[in-house]
Amino acid sequence: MGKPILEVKNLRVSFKMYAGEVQAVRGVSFTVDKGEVLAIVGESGCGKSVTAQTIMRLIPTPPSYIKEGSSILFDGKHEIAKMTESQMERVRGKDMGMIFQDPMTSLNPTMTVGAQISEGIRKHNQKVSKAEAFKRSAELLTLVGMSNAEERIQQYPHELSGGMRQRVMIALSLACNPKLLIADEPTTALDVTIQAQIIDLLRDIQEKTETSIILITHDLGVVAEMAHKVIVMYAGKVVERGTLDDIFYNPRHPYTWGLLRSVPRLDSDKNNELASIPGTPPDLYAPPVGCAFAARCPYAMKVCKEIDPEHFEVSADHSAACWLNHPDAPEVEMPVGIGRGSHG
Amino acid sequence: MLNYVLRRLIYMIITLWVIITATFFLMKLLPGNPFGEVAAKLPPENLAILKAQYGLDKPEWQQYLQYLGNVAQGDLGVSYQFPTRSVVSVIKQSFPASLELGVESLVIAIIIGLTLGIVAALRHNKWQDYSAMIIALIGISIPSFVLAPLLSLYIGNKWGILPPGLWEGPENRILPAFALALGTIATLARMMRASMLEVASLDYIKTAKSKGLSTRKIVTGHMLRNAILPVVTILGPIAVGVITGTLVVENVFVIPGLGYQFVSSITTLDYTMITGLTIFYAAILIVVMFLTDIAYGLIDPRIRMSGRR
Repeated sequence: MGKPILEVKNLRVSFKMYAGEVQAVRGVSFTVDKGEVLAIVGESGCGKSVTAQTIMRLIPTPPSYIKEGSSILFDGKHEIAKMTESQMERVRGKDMGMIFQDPMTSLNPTMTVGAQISEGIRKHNQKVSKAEAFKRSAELLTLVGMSNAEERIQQYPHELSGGMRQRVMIALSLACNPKLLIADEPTTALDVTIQAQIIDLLRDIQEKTETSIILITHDLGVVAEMAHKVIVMYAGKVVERGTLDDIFYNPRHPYTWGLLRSVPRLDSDKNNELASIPGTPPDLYAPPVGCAFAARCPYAMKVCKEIDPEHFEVSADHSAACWLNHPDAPEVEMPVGIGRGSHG
Repeated sequence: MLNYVLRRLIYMIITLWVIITATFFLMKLLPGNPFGEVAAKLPPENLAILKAQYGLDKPEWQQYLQYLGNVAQGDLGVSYQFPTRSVVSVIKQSFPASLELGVESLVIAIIIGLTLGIVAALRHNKWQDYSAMIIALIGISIPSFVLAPLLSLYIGNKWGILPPGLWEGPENRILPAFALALGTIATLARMMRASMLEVASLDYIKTAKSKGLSTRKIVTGHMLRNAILPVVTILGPIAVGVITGTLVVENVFVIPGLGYQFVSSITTLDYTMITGLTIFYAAILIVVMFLTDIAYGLIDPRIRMSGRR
């Protein structure tokens, strides 16, 4: 896929609160190559959004702090973790764009759609006149599949439906042809038919523009539709990484198994209850000593509660942070219903 | 838009009519009579002549209809207390000072209050925030009847920086306007701060940031307009309160305003004066509310839309 556009190494982000320090992200590493779609999946509160927003430095300091030793290398030259706010302003919107979860609240209600899109264009291209920026905004709206773009740019967000607004949001994030697009749960707040349209649109745009995308979601259906690589996050850490096939057909972490089993399937017996992962993610004020998932893991061994596992390589692209992958670990049968048509 | 204005105008007239009616009959329910102690000493024939002169001998519904007719022609009647002066002439004479004082203190309050609120929100939990909120707390806790005499006594009398009273040059305006403004400054500062903080946490501010806009642009272009909406809503009643609530300050600084007239008319049961001033104040309130709604529509496109339909 070519050179990496983003290399995140040992990213640690904490929030300093009155009650103490919340370690939201605890040493996350991954790379995104040019033209690649990386999906970050996991439950709510596992650090997906914090990771994504930290890449654009959107979370204010205080309360959030990027900890010493973290590195976010963008395009081989920008060290995001150490950039000043004014340096960041030149990168945000121009080299990176972001799509947020809820299109009902992520657009300014008192500005026309056109003004909101052209604002970003004019910020990064000082020479562009207001009229040109509006024209470009209309083109972008056409690109994201909106008809009557000339009229739409004069409209306010409340005059558009949720799906339309999310299209506007996508147009807005694409305004300056960013090299990296971060989509933070772009379909979660939309109804199912619109979800499919938005995913199609994103995939279409990704193929046309070869933009790299980080797709944050808890919807594995969305992942299967468009991701090339997947990382699974739990309690602020990456517990498994691999290609799309690795994760869907040969998952190696019990948490990934749990996620896959909780997806409803068309061919499942309707008398069977939908599986869920019992329990809740750990308190990140005081993360557990061993593996963070051990308390909810049906396969937990003694070692799991004492030593946090490193990543075990399954193949060059595939690794999982679980003791079950250790050569000395007992053989464990993957639960039924996962990994059918398995490669390995 | 025109349609909307016309409809509002009709509502305004109906509101005013209800107020006139209610005030008129409530006055009649009050015990006593407007001629005071003199009435007891007068021979009944003379009292009857007096009553006939003011139309009080007729049945109440006739009085009411006649009054309504007069009001429609802009005639609020003649004062019982000062038979040589009409209510309208009293308003004409006393209101300008009250209005000027009110508008001046309102302008002061808006400028200082909003600035304090914005600064406090932008420097949330820093010393600027704490200082602004302490000022607001003081402003809310000190009533104008405490502040006004203190200002007049110290700044006016003891230190002689500004005149302690009267209504002559521009230097006479500063102390009373400030005394009247302090409470409003506090209210506006607290409200603007809360509103700014709420807007700052909203998603579209993050969107604006993700476009690469500078903090200054985000504040001026995205936050202020949205944050000011709830403040505009309360600005109408606040403006009326400031313009009409000048009584104490007028008394302390010896300003020839309308507030004093209102209170004295109530103590002397001056029917026409009370009713007339109530109607006048109500009309101001209604007009200011209407202007507030129009301003609201100009700021928030969502409201403009529903008005157009």
